Amino acid sequence: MKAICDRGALLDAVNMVSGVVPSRTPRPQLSCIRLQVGRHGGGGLLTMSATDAEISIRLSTTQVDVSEEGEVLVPADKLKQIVNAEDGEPTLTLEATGDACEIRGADATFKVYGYPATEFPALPDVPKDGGSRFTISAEGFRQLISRTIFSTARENSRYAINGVLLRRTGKKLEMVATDGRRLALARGMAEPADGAPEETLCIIPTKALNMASRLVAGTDAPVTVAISDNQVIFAFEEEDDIPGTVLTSNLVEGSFPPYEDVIPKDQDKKAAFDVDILSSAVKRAALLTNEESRGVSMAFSGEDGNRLTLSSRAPEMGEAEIKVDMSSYDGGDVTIGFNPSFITDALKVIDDRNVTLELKAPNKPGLIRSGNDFLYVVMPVNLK
Amino acid sequence: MSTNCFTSPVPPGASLREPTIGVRMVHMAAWPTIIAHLDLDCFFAQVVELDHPEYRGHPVIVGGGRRPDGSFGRGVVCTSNYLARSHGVRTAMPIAQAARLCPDAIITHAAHGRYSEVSREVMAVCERFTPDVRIVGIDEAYLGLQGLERWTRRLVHPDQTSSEDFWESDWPIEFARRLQEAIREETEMSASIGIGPNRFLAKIASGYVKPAGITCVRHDAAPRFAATLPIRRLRGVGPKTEERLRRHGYTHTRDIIEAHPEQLAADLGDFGVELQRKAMGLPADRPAEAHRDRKSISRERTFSEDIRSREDLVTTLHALMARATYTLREKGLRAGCVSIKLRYDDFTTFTRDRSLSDPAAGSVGATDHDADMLPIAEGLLDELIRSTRRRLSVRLIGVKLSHLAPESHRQLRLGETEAYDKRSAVYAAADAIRARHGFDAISCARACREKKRPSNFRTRHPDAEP
Repeated sequence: MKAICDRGALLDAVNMVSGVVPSRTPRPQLSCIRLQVGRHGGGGLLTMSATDAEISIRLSTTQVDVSEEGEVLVPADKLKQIVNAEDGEPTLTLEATGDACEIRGADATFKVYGYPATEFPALPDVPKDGGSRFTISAEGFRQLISRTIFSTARENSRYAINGVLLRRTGKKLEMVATDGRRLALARGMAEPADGAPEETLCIIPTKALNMASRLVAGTDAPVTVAISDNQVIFAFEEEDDIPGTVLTSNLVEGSFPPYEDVIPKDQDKKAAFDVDILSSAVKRAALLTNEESRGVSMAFSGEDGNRLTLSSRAPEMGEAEIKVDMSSYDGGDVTIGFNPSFITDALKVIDDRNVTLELKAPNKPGLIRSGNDFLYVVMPVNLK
Repeated sequence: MSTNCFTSPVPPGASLREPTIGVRMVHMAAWPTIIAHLDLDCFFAQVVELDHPEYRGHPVIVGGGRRPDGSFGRGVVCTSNYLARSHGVRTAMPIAQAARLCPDAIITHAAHGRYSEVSREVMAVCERFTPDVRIVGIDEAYLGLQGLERWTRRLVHPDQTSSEDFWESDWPIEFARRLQEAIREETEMSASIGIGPNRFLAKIASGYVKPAGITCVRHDAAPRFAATLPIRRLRGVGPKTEERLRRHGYTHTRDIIEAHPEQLAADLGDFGVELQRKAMGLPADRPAEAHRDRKSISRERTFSEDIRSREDLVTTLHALMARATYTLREKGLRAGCVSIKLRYDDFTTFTRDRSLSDPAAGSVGATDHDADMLPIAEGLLDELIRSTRRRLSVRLIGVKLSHLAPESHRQLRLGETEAYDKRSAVYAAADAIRARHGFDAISCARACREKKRPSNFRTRHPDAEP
């Protein structure tokens, strides 16, 4: 295997693929990136793959001159460090001899010991048909992910909520994430493939979705999502004659909590805000909170021209009070406490200028809505 | 600290009279603050001797207990009387070793509840002498003596106002002597009393002459007194701190007293400056709060036989957790951190803790429910067992709740409000039963299983350490 590769393209690809490489693994082959050099159309093609046995990725670049086809496994961390450090070079030469790979710049030669490419596990292929397949625009997918992924649980103890629920009913797509204290639900549209079932339901691991969101950030090509019994495949369409990137992941087993039950239906107080005003007020009130006293009190009042008073108090530190106007307020006065970052997390992903916050009582959930496509349930903090 | 001498109740044998005209009050300035530290001498052993006069004159060791077969269990010495100490018996020594050193010793325990009973009697005497009593352990207390001078004077010489110079300097000693006598008369307990310009020196002073000693460190003599002390005698200086001090060239207390505060701050931070202030007899920089916040609640258990099964450890963990959370709820607190401690048969000890707001703990947040803490404690236990890579053979297990805060700012969980409220009601009901009929009147099924192990009944409250 021998190829001369554009360093910038190589760096981008290595950085992306490294995201999947496990930091610790009993199988050293999995800590490697598979480099495959071949011909494609009139030019060369460098394809990189990595997997942690749960998630795998395969992406390609054509910014490469191939003099000899072949493949090799190179430890991901060293490859990444070397390509990163050779920052004065426009191109780098990759040459494999046996299980080792040489990476050469103008004045440097690195010989890195790897493994034979045959020891790398086979990665799943994109099924041409069958199963549940649908297509979604890059923009729509990006939004669905960003509006839900921040609410996923980060611990391992409740495995099923350590992922995002994806549910498609016909052309309607819903993604839901929760950590047990808040729940985010985003809606979008999808184009089901011919013969796809009416409904699809699965839980996608957070790590896979994080990767997908990084991939979708750099493209405008639509994404095909294929879901089988235990696997999901995200296939990004071919662009400029470069084969599209493929990300596959095992699905999370287990059942997602019955999320529809926790979405409150009987909120009788409704406040409307300009997103920036609410976000700024909550952030400022959060300045005087601490680990023991992390709640911000929010007092809603319809009198005196729809005023919201936020206050916080941290023992031995101080206290804050911020008064802001609501666009409108409907319902009786109520005072409720929230973890400020739970509120700002949601406000961050709202594109619209307007947001509504619906409440019922100080010990009942708050409901944030933006348009019809985003809904966020957040449990209060007990201020007593 | 109270400076009002008129609120103090009258000790026996004294009568309260109108203040004598012409009393000089310069002594207030002479003692900026004045604190006495009362320490009951080998308290547990004294209580045993009190209940068993026939033991007097024999070496007495409190602690441990014997197995049914007559051999010594693996308890440690809680305390021993001075006769036993003269044979080399020391607190915290394994009972079996103590028995070898002093074969004639009587090894015993007082009847259940007797220690706290006697302690309460002694503290009641103290409270008659000054309203400012702060009990810090079952056998020790700090007494604020501020403003008790005239009162002491009239106690000793009800009719005289003469020899004022004598009183200026020595009235605290007279106060201590009277207190010591009253305690001996009323409770038959012997106490040592230290007097100093702050708690730090008062405590050192009470240990200076024992038993039944009185040591008074005048504020102007404080630096000289402290300079004679080995550095390890200073409270807050353990082996690690001693090493740290030594690295910076502070090998004697004198070095700390003579150092420039800025140099101390540079070398040791606030700790060094505070240590110097305290050793020099200056009051603490910050006025001590009336009731220092409790920092943690711990319960631990030493097994009479090593435990080799994880299941048995988990059962004990449940029982200990129930006791810890009961105290937690009793105090109206929530814990933000759970720790567990395992001591293996060779005395190597491991601890592991987890903040409850840690995502790995499910981000439960501060809680006072056993049900929230047990899965985390069990998880810690498993992690510990796994990471130590040893054959499981445990002599002690402990649980500690820390990051205590009053009940507030609890993050509610989705769909859990009702379940949580129900659970709170269950705990409240169980606590009410325990308050009335004793802790063991009710317990969860798992912890119940533990009670059937007759040999494993010893629960220690490390918080109440002497």
